[in-house]
Amino acid sequence: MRLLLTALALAATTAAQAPVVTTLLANGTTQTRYDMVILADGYQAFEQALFNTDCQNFLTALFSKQPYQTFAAYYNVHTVFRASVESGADHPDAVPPIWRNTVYNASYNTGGVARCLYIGNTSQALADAALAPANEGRVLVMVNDSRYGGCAGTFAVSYNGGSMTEVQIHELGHSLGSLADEYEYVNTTYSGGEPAQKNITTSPVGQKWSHWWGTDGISAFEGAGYNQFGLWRPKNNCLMRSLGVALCAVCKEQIAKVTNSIVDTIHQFTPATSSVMVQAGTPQTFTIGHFVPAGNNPLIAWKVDGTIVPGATSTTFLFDPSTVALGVHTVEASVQDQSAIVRLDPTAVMRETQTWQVTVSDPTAAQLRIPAFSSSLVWVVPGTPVVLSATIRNDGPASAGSFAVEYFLSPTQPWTTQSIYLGGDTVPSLGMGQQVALQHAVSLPWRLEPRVYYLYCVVDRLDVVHESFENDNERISALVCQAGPCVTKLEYDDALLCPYDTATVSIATGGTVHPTVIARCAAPGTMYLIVWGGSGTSPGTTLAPGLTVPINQDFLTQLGLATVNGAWFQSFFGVLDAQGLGRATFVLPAATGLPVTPGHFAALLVDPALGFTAVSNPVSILLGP
Amino acid sequence: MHLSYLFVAGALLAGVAVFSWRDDTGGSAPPPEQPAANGHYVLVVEGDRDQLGVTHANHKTDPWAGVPKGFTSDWTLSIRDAAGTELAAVPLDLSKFDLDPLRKGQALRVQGCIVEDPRIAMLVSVPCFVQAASYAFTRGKTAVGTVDGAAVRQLAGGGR
Repeated sequence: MRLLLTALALAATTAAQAPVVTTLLANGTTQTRYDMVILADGYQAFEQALFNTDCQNFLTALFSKQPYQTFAAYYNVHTVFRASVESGADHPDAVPPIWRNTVYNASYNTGGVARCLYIGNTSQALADAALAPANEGRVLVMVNDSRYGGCAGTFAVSYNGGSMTEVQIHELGHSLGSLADEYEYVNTTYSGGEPAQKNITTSPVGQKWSHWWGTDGISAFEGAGYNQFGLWRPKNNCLMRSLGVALCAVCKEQIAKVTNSIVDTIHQFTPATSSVMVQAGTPQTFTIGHFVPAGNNPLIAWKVDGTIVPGATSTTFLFDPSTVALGVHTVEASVQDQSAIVRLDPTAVMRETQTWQVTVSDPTAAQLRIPAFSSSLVWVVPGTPVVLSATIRNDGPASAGSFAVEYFLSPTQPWTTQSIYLGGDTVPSLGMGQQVALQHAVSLPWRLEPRVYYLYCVVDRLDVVHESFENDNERISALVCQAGPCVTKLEYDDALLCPYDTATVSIATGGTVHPTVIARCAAPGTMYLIVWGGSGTSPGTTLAPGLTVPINQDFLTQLGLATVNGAWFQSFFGVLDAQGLGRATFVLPAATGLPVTPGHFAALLVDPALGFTAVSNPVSILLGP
Repeated sequence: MHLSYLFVAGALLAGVAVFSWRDDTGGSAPPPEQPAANGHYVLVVEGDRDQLGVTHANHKTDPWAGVPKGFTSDWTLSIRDAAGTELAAVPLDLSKFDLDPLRKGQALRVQGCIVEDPRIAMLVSVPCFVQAASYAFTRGKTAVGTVDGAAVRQLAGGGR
């Protein structure tokens, strides 16, 4: 029986000590408001009503003072009441000392300062404060003791005697606003650097608050921050210096800015998601709701793609997609709080914005993009066969007809049609929401240099397909080219030409191609000669034992040799450059009377001392209709 | 192998690294989506300038309110998943504490009515991610404590 009674007593004690969480002031969601938390220390269970009264008295006083009055709707206030075993706080400096068993172990004479009332069990206090629906990291503590006192750090602590409201609002100035004490101790001189706090300075003119000079008695008054000399305060008197007076303009501004840095004054908006799809021709309404007091003259502005929309100053905005191109745009609403309490706001804490990413699409348009692109090899040498893999997707509301997927190599960004062309594929059609995986095999050109190349996949280069927007039709990768083997090669170096060993020139309209000799290992000074013929490549023409140029000589060969380096065969005979390249140009004028002829070019190398040293592969040149 | 070849190879490798990154994010690829948070945690963080830990955790269903506008700090709490991907980096406000290395371990000081304590004890609100595997505190580039994600979930009552 005795055990049972003991157990019941323990249970009763535990129940009595269970914390009680109450929301005294609920102005809005915790996400949009400054959530203030107040704890109780030195209140026994039967004194919970006293704690509630103390909190109400404090809040009444707090919200009758500026800047809290103006921004009263910005705060939620929660209390967490955990009963103490005894009332009051420790008085270790009393004779004899007084010790009280309280939940957070509040004590006077903290740090040896008699009036400094602070809590010792901060761990328990934080754990209890965390029970509140939300917090901003700062916690107020009401201590049930009649001896004057208070102190501030993470916690703003005050006794609950006659000056409770003034003391707690002062301590809140430290805790919430990071404000300094403005009072001084006699015969003390400050010798440190410029303080971080906004309300004290080493500047005898108060440069820090120059934007307030001449208003509300703001100037510069020596004596602040516990020093009689060397530190200045903004106003002759302020709540951060003496109880019973108002906060000065500088302190009010700081508290207002801290509060506004935390709250989100735009507390509702539609559409509710930040990413919005809009179809061309269908206007979209955007709305915001805010709680900036009317007396603060809130200024609403709307921007589309960063440009202010003239006349759009209400909480509703009708976005007309016909005024912008198809594609992705931004719509931004902003509310500027123009409260006279804040004059300087470099970090724009008084401005709240809501941004939507708006995709304007055409219901009749496809939307091609490249979700994946890669090469079978990254490290390559000239002539390497590679396989390029690309996935093409149509995210648009309409199907795409036939379009090309092409590949380019370029040593620099961006690619152009003059970049090295790696060929392409044709996709006959791609339905809405469908994707296709392509594999494109190509042998890299021999003229590649040892360097990094940008590798591009380009979809619908000619804009054949009608798309909502055209700015996502390429994707980039890379190839690293190393030095290649010592070979003598001939290939075409022409825009949009792949493979590099076949070209066609019209005999009717004429045309130009650029046969290029590649002989990276040739000795300096080596000469090259490009010859042509229209009679096939085999058996070719033997120049020396084991050295046969793959051209069967005919009248075209004779024509080429007779007019080499002339208007038709420019730079067909020359000296290889420092990179071992010989760049030639074949220009066929229109209507020369030549017949349709399948022909070939081939190159041979000539060393001035040794004679013929190498021959190249043939490349096809078709003189077509 | 010639030095010049090594040099070229090194440059090319660096190039590949750059391009690999571009390939992931370049062109029109949309930015990676933010991981979804399941409400937020209120953490009790305790320790000193060289070692921080989490001693209590409370889960709240309300969304995390984010970082105060314009607030930056050298002190950060980085939340990462098991693969090491950072889910969130929350700057920490330690302005109320005495961070002087010479004062570490000493009793709090009082100036006027302001308490300066070398012992850190504070509340930190962070987004709650189900995939959070670690909570790492840093001061600048110095690691000052890591807490296992499971330990935080346990402190918060488990299950989240």
